[in-house]
Amino acid sequence: MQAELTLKGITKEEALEVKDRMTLLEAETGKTYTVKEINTDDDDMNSFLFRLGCYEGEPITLVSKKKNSCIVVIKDGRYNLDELLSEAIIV
Amino acid sequence: MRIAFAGNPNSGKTTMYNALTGRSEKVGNWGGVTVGTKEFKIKDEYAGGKDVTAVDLPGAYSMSPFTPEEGITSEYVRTANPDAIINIVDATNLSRSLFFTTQLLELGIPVVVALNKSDINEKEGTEIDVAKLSEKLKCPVFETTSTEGKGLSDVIGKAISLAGSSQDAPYIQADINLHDKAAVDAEDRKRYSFVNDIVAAVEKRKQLSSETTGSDKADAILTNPVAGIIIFAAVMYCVFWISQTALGPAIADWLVGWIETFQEWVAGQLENSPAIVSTILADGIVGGVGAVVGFLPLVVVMYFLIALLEDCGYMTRVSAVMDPIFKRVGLSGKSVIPVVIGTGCGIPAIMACRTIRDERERRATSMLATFIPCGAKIPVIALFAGAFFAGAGWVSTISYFLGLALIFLGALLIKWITGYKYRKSFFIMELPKWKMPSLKFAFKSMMERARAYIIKAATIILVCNLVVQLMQTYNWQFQIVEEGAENTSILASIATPFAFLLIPLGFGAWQLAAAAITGFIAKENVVGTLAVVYGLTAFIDVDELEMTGGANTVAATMGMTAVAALAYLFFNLYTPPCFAAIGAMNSEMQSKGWLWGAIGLQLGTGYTVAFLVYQTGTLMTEGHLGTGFLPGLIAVLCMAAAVYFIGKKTRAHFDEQYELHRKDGKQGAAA
Amino acid sequence: MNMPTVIAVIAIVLIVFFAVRYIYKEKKKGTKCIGCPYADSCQKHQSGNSC
Repeated sequence: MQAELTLKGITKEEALEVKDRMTLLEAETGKTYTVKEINTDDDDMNSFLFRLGCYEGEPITLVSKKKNSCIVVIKDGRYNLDELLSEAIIV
Repeated sequence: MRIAFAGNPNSGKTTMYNALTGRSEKVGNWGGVTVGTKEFKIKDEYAGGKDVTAVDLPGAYSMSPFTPEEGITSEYVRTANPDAIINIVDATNLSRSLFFTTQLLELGIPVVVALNKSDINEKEGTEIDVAKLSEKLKCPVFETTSTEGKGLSDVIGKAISLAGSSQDAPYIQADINLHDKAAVDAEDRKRYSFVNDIVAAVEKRKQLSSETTGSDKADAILTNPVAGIIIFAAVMYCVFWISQTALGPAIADWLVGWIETFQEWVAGQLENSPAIVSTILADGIVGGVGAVVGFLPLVVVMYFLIALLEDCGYMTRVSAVMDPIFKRVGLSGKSVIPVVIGTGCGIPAIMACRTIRDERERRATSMLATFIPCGAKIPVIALFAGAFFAGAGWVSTISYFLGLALIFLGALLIKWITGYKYRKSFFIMELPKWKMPSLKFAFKSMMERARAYIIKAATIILVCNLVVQLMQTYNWQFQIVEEGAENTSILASIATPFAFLLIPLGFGAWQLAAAAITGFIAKENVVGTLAVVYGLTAFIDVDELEMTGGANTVAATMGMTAVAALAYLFFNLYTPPCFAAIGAMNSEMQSKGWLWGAIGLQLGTGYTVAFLVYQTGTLMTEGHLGTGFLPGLIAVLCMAAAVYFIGKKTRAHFDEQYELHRKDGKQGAAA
Repeated sequence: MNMPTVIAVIAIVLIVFFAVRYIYKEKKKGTKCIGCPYADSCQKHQSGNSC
């Protein structure tokens, strides 16, 4: 739990510092963004996202979001992402 | 000649495989239904008289595996040298699928691309220039719709004619050091831009996939943490209610009538025969098997409904909504799928755990998935609900939701025992397009299950019943047990020591212990054995239920209180599943420690739940504790102590390990 | 021994014979769970320990 909170804190701070960078959970529903950075701290996960077509420079559309998860469109597929992933994808 | 079927998850590989081979392997509208390779001969009408074997592989997004089942695919196409590959491409998601296609094309094995789900594209107005795509990929491309069998003969015909030849790759990965992560990344990026160029050239979309549609609105509600869970509970309740209270028993009633008439007829014919012949044939074979078959309608109606659910695409939404809850207890949202499949059969449920990436989560899920009553346990539930609770629907609903609760509690326990430290557990799930569930498919899947159920009843359960019957009829001197001296039979003397252990749970009769034991061979055996040892057949009988408030013949013969009956039911539901499921657990867990842990946990859970239900129930209904409270309490406390010490030991060990991992930085978090 | 008894005994023997033969055959094939439609894929995993 502790780690989760710290992790959340850091990403939020970062997002506040630089206005044009935000996590998916801070983005607006229905809009298409360009992925700026993906950092899941897990190489395998990063490359898995890559293979789905989610990497820097590619478009990503936020279809809907909840408190701690969201649904996005990557390429032509819809995916449900949990909190960790939504915060690891910077748009 | 072998032709491998490869492609992204949920692109329709197994549907095509089933259409070509005439098999009915499990399909569903989500990624990761197929978790192992399957092989079968292709039908002559497609193979053109040649001996062609189709190999169905689990879905994969690329050649580098992420989850265990993806690894099976990349290993197979790399090492097994199939004569040709049919690459099934989800035509609605060309931009992602072609990444894997270009990798397959590099292997040198002839590839035929099947642009599947082309019916959806037609509906949405997406056009793909097939000729151009074929030219760019340097391989034949065909549009297919495997649910309707369209285009299949073209694909397979081409694959057969190309088999054994070679394949030109449209894109070849530069010669790079595969251990250099940056170089691999850059190379993959180039491959993706190559794919993007192709897609831009061949695909024309009327409806952009990023547009919000009606189904997105539905998804937003279905994945809402509150509404989504309520809807899921309601849907599952409907499934149980229809199959086990409304439609199922109505059909069963009719079926049981016929079975009973047949049994009476057999008994009538054997009036003048030696008692032993009549007992074996009329009571043992016809009665015992009939008792089990009588529940068939309940089971198949449920399979039918579950098949509809699996086919429409709802499962992934459930997975998404359950993820936060499951994560809190140390499982993953993907654990939902094994749980729901588990309502059908525990074995595919345990195998479905393969799609879970984290090893601890995977093992924990396969250990807990069987707490959900499987199809074989439905007869047991229905028997007790009918005999002791006047067929009340709440018995089955409670059985399922208690199973779910036990999964959560068990997960918390495993989390504690394994000393689970917070680790990143990601959850990403593709939400496939909604699809009208096919009644034909659900019916087919239902008939398949019905067939399996009957085969099981006519073979393994029949033989078990016969053995039980003989063991009950004879004593150790191989003389027929005399009336009034039933306790001297072989069966009684074997089951009595076990029955002794079950006294604190309220059911110390050797008959019940014997039924619970035969239940490990197959859970339907519980019903079969009870039918044989108590000489009953008509477990479902509406007329009898109307007699004095639940105290019907069945209940009277068994001589148990309703509370003890509920305890016995729960004991059978939550103890280890059948041997076959334990075998599946063994092969998925790949660890003897975890396997024995799982069996221990399940035995302990079954015992404890039954103990608590019986003792508190008796206290509530009769105002005093049930028999054998103290020994039972001691047994439960001993089990708790054992869990505590195992937990302590593994946690100490785990802490050491975790420390080591921490030293080399990020590795610990990723492990 | 009357006629029905003879028929019954033959029936029992035949039923048991076929049941046992079916189980034996399936077991020889390596099927873990008799009659299970997924039995094939279970077996496959047993032999190939790819994960």
